[in-house]
Amino acid sequence: MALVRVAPARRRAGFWALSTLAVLAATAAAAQDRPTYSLYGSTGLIDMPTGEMPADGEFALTTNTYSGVLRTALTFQIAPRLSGTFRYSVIDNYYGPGDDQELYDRSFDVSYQISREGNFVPGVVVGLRDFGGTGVFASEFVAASKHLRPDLVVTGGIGWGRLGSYGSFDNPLGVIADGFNDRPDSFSDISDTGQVAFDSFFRGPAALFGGVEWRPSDRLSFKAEYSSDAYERETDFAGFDRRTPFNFAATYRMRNGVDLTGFALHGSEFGMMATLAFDPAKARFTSGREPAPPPVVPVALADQRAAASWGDVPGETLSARVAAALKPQGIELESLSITGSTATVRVRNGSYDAAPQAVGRTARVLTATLPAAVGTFRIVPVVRGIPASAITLRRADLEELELAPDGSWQSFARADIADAAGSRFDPAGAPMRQYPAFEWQIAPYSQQAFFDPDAPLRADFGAQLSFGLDLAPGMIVSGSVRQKVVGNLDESTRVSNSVIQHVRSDVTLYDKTEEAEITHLTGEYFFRPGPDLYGRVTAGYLERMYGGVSGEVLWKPVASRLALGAELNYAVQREFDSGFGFQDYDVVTGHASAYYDFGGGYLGQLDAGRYLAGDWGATFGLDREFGNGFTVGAFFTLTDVSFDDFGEGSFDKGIRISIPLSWLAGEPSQRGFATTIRPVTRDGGARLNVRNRLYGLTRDYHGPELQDNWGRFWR
Amino acid sequence: MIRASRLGWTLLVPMLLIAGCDRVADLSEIASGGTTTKAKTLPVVAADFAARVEAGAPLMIANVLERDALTTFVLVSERDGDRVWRTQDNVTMSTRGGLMTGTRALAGDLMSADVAESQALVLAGRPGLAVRVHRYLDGQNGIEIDSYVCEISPRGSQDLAFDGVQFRATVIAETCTNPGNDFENFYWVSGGTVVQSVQWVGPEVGAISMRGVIR
Repeated sequence: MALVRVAPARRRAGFWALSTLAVLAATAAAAQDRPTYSLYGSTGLIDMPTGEMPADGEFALTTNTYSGVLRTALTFQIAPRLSGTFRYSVIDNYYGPGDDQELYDRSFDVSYQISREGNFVPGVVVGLRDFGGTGVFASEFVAASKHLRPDLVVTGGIGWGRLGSYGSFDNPLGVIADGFNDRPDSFSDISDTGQVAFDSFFRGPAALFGGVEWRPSDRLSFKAEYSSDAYERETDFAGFDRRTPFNFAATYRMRNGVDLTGFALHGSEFGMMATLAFDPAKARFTSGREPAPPPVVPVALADQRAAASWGDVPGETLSARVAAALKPQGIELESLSITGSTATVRVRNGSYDAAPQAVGRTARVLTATLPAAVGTFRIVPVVRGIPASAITLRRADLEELELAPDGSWQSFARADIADAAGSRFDPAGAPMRQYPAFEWQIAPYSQQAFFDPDAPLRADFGAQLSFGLDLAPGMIVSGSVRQKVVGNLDESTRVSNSVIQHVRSDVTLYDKTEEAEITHLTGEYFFRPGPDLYGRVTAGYLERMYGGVSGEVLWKPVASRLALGAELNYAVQREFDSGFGFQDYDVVTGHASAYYDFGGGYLGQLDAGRYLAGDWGATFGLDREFGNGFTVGAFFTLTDVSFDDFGEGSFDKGIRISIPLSWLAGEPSQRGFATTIRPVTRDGGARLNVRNRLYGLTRDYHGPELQDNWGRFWR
Repeated sequence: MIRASRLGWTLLVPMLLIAGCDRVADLSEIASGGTTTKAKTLPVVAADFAARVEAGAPLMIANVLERDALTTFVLVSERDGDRVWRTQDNVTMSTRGGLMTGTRALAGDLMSADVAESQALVLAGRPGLAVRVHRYLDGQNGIEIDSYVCEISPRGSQDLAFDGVQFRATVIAETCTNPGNDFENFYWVSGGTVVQSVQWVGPEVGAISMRGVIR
């Protein structure tokens, strides 16, 4: 009798069959117009770009291969008009014929749509390909696309760099300035890679390209293009035969959303491509598969019930009853106190990634358990022992709005969200949580390393034993030990050639240990120094590579989009076996940080200070967080380590992706998967990885984030 | 040509990005406990269901047509014309005058519905136009609002027999449209109350057919 099934199994002809068909037809029409992806991993024809952009937020993974070239790319539609791509390519015989002449290349693209397609105006995109890598694919373009029919799109454009290498002519921009006529050599030395090639954008000869895409159905697409890429290097070194400037491709879209493409390049090569594109904003089960919340109990009935069941269990206190009712909801009651007609409950949310859902369920339980004299609920979510905020709800509002059509918005408007600095843990206030509290678990773990030319992906798998001991509110001793079972991270033979202190580039040495390693072992103290302030002190083995002491203070008013923080650490490098020993490198490192929630899911972060190698500088980060918690972001760090001293890549940068488990599973969970991808790991601009930085701990329970997720209050 | 092993490795990269990354959760978090609420609530709700059935609370038989899932709802809350019904496995549904105003735990829930105009026409058996507003979660924990214009039209009467009791009901159709979608609800009204109906929940769930149990 399960009402929830993963996939609708069998459709029945019913009264609503027509409406179902209408829905399907509507989605099909939209899907037919979804732009397809190019070999570069961004939307486009085959090698050539177009003036189209995918839907806002679309995330696409692409892999393709042909004749000694393999490309894997990740593209994210950062904003409605802005797209970014990260690509990893392997090109055989790039440096000449024979073995070991491959090029392993990481590159970034960015493109911006300056004009959206209208009835008469084409969509126009300006883009930079490989603007900060080795420059192998370095090119710039302006491309315009227009639908002639709903199923037919034509594209024309002009390209520079690699896209201006066939059928080229003098750069028309030379009219503006002579400097546009010549393009400096892009790729000279591995140590120059990673710098943004401002001095070559839109320079040198230009060439025209064009093409057409026909999408006869929502499953099929056919493309033909005239390419302005001469494939010079490939023809010279890799024996590529460029017979014609024309390329062709056919794409079939499978039901699971994967596009399979076969393509023919320049009359001589065939290749295959697979693309998975999806919208992170669409969770698989929009309203989740978790059980229904308990109904709100009207105050009159609650009183009757309380009177009737009072004394069912001799000596049972009110807080024990509330705790027992909250427990099945996955919420732990820490304490309950009643002053006048206001009940203050401190709760730990161990289940819900959307904080309003935990608050809503707590409120529902309180309506069923507290006597009628209590008219106001003050719910204080506690995170790591510190009160994160205080959400005050009126009991009468809950009754009125539970089933009201606009109950979600009205309940948010009537809720009061305030700072909870004063709401300290009161041992006399009927505490339900007993200290010390101890918990442990064993779980599998996996660690990966990317982009080693000998094996672009390596991974270890093993088991990790973790424990946490809450000594007192906010005072936590925790640790974890892990043992690798299988894996090949230890096979790396790369030796760091870094000329500055090896603070991160020796990571492969840490991966070589075969024994159990202590991934962390710390004592932490979390506290509230005052209103709007949060504090943390951590000491011990902070992370795999460093131990020491870390202190942090965060200023973050509950209603503010801005937060400011300061962190100071003393770190000592650990032995390569991740045991108890230390090496003789130590450093004082720390940052002043500013966090800003721009709204619409865009989060900015600026950290300025001293890094692990003793270098001074700043890290700039921008993340886009979807309401369901799916996050995609990018960052870069500039410090006083020169580009030459930094080595390959010139400066530290990367992208980070975080996927909540609830997005995948459709059930609330505070767990998820996160990864940071750096093109190269070097020693400049490296930060200490302290766990439990305060911004991430508190943000979910503060005004802007509560408002974004309030739709789940009544779920 | 590309060596097979290298091809394999590189194909793995995008898959791993999705599948096998480090856990976000910090380890001291295990001190704060539980992960899923499903198993914990089930015995409580099932016991409550049995007790209410025993005590003679109103029941409703329902079928989520698209999933072919037949179930029984028992009344758990009633105030000011709003009724909340719950199944043994903790799915809830709210109704107002027999018209569905919300569901929970159907993975695609109707979060709330303003059905006041439809309700007035349906219960009176009068033809006319009504505006109905549905609210859903939008996949990002926000609320999506869909409004429909509905045409309510009586379609004659029908003899029904439930649980050995025979009665005559008027069949009322409610045809709702908006620019992106349309659906149709049917109500069998007898003595001013809805005794049987087929009502559309939302695009992910489809329609539920339901009728009261006479006992």
